[in-house]
Amino acid sequence: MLLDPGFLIVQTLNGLQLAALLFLLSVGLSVVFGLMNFINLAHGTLFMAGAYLALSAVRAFDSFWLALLLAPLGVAVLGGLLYLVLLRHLERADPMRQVLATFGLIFVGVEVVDLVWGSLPHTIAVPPVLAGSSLILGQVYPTYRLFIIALGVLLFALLYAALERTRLGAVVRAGVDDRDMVAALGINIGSVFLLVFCLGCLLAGLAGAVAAPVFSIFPGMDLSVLILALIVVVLGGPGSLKGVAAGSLIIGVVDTYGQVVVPELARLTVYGLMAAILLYKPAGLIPVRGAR
Amino acid sequence: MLLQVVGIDTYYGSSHTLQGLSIEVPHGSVVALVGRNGAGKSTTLKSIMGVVPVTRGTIRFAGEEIHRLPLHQVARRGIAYVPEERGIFASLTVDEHLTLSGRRGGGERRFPPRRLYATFPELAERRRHRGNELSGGEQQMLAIARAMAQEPRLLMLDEPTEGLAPAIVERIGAVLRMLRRDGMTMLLVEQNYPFAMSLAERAYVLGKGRIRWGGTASALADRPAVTHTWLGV
Repeated sequence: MLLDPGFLIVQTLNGLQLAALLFLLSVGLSVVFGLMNFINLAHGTLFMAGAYLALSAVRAFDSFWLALLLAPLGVAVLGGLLYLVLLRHLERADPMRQVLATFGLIFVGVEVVDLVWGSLPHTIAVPPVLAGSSLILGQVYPTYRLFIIALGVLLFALLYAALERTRLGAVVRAGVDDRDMVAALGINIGSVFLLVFCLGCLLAGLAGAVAAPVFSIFPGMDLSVLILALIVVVLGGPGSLKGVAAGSLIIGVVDTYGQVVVPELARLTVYGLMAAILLYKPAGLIPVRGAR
Repeated sequence: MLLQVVGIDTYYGSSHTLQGLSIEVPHGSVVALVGRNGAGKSTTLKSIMGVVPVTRGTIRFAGEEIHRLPLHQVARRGIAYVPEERGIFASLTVDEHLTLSGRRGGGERRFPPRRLYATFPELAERRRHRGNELSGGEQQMLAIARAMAQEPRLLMLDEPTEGLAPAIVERIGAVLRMLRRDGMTMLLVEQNYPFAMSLAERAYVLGKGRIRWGGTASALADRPAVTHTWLGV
């Protein structure tokens, strides 16, 4: 099986597709963690919110593309409210309180979704343009999954350019290095953080909306991806965009192969890999420069 | 009077670091805070900046009370701060450091990057290098240049010569003398007593969180008992 090139190509593409979703999901988590030392366990809930909002938008407007636009915006607004009402007050709190409060939000999220949309699984149809299959490297592969991979690559490039080439990007990088010093230059780091937090939520919502036609949508769909996203963040080094990309690639591919080749061990391959890498690189694969 | 610190108390953790401390910095003057390690010099600057909260007393800057303002608001009032650990951003280039802190809005800028690079040619050669690639001396020059880019009304420097080679100390001394001629108001914390006295017109001697002596720098030179007890020189 492992020597069949067709199998390898298809599984690697599956891995890349999962990596693209993990990247979108983990970017916000990682930057927020790096910038504010804030652990938001409810980040997966925002992913789920993206999927459900996309579901409602498709039902209301009968347009996948409109849903792909509206759902992330809705999640960004939701995230902004969540920050202003609750999370802001936990910024300086000890990590245990952050973990407990945001852990609680996971259950609230599942209950709310259950109340509004019910507990039965749903799905969204792939838009007609991307519905068929494409021939890639001699293999037939669903076009929509290629679209997810392309979207992941595109957003990495956009985010990388924004972080390295814009003033706001420089402020974010500086904030990850030394938050107080940024404030000492007269920059309101709190409002920068709100902006970054909302952007992270937007991307998590985008991941949810994009994943909706591939995964089934159900209350609790956030839990398995949250664990993978946390592993990606820790593995890549919190606050590092390249680290998130590297972590997503590794976890996406390893998890995919793990599920197919040794299904009995499934997730154990990912956990084992994380333990092994952290043993040799405790700060993550690509830690932020000068991280202490 | 540009800066008036009146009877402030500051706690650092559970230790009572500053006890009823008062200092004044007149417009256009250079004032030095001298004293031994742990006397409370750095904490004084951090209290003014709002990095650590004061529990009693008032701090007035250009007539306005600033001791309850958040850090970024204090900076916007016109106070630039060069911390002891320099606060250089490891992942930002030299260019980015100077544009990040550059005052926004219209009007002629006193210290555009062009002039800062003329002042520190060492930095001009390294403008695309990141903070963590710079030597200690280059980092200190960048920290001062970044503070100048803010075009502050008050420049506070914490140990700007610490751990630097004599040639670099001389370079930094020359830049600070240039700023003094320009009329920049400065509050300087220094362990290097001769360096501090070569720049400052007024000095405060700190010991164990209190002001032990205050006056002109030349008067301090005639008070060996003070310098012996509180500075060990």
